[in-house]
Amino acid sequence: MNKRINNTIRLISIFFEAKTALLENRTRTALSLLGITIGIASVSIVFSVNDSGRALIFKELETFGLKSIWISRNISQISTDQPFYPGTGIATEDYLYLKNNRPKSLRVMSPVVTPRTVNSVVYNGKRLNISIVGVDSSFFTINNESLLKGRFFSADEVQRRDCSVVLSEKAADLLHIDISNDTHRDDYILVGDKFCSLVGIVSKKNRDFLSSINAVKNEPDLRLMAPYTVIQELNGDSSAIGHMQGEASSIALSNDALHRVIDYLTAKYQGKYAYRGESLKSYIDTANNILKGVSVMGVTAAAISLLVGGLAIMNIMLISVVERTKEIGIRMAIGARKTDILLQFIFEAVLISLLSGIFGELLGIALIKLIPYIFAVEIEVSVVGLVVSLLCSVFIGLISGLYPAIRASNLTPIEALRYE
Amino acid sequence: MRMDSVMSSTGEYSVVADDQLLSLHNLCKSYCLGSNEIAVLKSIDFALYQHEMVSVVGSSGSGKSTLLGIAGLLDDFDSGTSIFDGETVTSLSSNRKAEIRNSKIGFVFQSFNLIDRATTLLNVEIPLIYAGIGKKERTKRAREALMQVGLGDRLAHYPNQLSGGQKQRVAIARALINQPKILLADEPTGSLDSSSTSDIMQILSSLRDQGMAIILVTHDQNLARRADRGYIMEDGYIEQAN
Repeated sequence: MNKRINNTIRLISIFFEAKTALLENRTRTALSLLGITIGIASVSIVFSVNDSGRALIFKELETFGLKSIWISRNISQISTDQPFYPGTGIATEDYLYLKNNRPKSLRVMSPVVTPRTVNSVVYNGKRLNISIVGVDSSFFTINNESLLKGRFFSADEVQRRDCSVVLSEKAADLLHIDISNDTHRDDYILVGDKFCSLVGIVSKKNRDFLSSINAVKNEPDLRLMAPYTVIQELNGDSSAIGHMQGEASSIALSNDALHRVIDYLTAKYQGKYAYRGESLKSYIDTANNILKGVSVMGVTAAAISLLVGGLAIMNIMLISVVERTKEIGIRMAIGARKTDILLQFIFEAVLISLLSGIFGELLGIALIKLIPYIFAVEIEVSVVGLVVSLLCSVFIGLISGLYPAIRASNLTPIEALRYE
Repeated sequence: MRMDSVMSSTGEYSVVADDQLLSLHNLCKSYCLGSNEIAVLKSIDFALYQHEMVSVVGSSGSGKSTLLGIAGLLDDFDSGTSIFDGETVTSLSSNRKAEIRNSKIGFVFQSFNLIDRATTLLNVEIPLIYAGIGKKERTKRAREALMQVGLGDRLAHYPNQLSGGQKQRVAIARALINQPKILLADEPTGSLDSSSTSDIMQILSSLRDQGMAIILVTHDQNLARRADRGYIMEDGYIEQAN
């Protein structure tokens, strides 16, 4: 027990002695810091860019609902040797059947019906061109809509063909609807020949980044959502459905859900129609791959500078061992064991590299804070990145200090002592 | 003088007196210089008892420093036995040797061998670090030791700010800090002027009077005369002087 305490005290004392050895040779220590500093700075930046990039892309993808799937008739796949069948290829009864007999991989679904002729609404004597969609009440959750005001319309309202509508923020703004006003009960909006009541307003969806890289289209700012039954009535056709949007049970299952729905429709219409199925899975995979690519490049660059930095530390430590051969001999003569010498040099290497790690992180954080001034993106400092890079620097110190330390500890006392 | 039997590394029993601190028997050592093997110690017999100062005199190259290195467990030898305070040296691990050097042996060298980048106080503290003694106790003991050698006002000085005599006194304080049984002094006054020399010899004599066993390696016959016994070395051989 006593021996263990003694050993602990010895360890701590040797550690603190290592610190003084570094202060001794400040310029040299500072120079050997550089490589690791740059390497660790890049590691922190790579982690932060990766984290923030992922957050940004997924935040925008989430505006679709990450588990969303879309099914529509694929007109481009019509073969010439078959007669052309007009129509959307999806009927209300198909939607209702799938809704009541949905596969396990499909959590919920909604039809999306667009009006054939109507493309504007009138409110308070003011006409506004707007994109109108007829949907079921489930659409709001599938499409990740968030309410700014009021409520969504209900399944009952859809069934009763009540014309209750939800407007987008921008549309409400252009129609001079007072959002701060609590009730919209008396607000009537004319959609085609129907007087509809405004029940809710949804927030704007931000897809600036994804649309800026042409990955997706930004959802129109001017939108009106109405029960699909109402829009079908407007169209004078209570059966045709433009396309369906659903939510898979998980991102991984989205392809399965698509296939099951398409298989059902294909079988039902005996191959008269071809269908197109889309999910976010491929977007998500692409985003992940791009981020992975960025990380691999960044980590490779960081690894090279860390390797160079590690070699610099090893070099400095080897020089230091030679320069301090006599000191090592003196220490051995007055009672240092091999392990004491070993630890002293390893501690020194770890301290140098830990110090560079901390400088590197500070540099990294500074650069990350500069990024918004150069590029139009906000990058958050990744805490995981900071922890990982600090551990990295300790590890490099250990590795690069090991060989010089072993050389130091393997000196024989008498030869070290006589070294001039 | 009671006699004990101690098993040597070669399996023989050697006879050791219980107040004997160090005994070298039939000890040989040679260095390889290229393909030539040069014998530096030839069949050395040597003993050191408690409370005595023993001098080893010889010209340079006679092997006296090598002998001291072996006596202080700093160096290996080729054959023969070395028994240090009852322990057969050849069977000791390098850790145990370090422990013995730390707790039972004090070294004083001609060139002082202080660590230049450490203060006087830290130089004296270092053996206590390896003994696993806490900072507070270390500082206290090192300060006391330095006060004893008359350097209580030089604690924060670095070795290059001290005179030769002062440096050697720091070295002595460091050698004594762990209360060793043996002090090994290799030409301790070799780099000093006559007044410092007499200071250092004064300290060594008074240490002997307090019961410390000392081996004094020197080429100066006048200093050797102050020892209780003497050995003379020449060309790797040793014999007792009268």
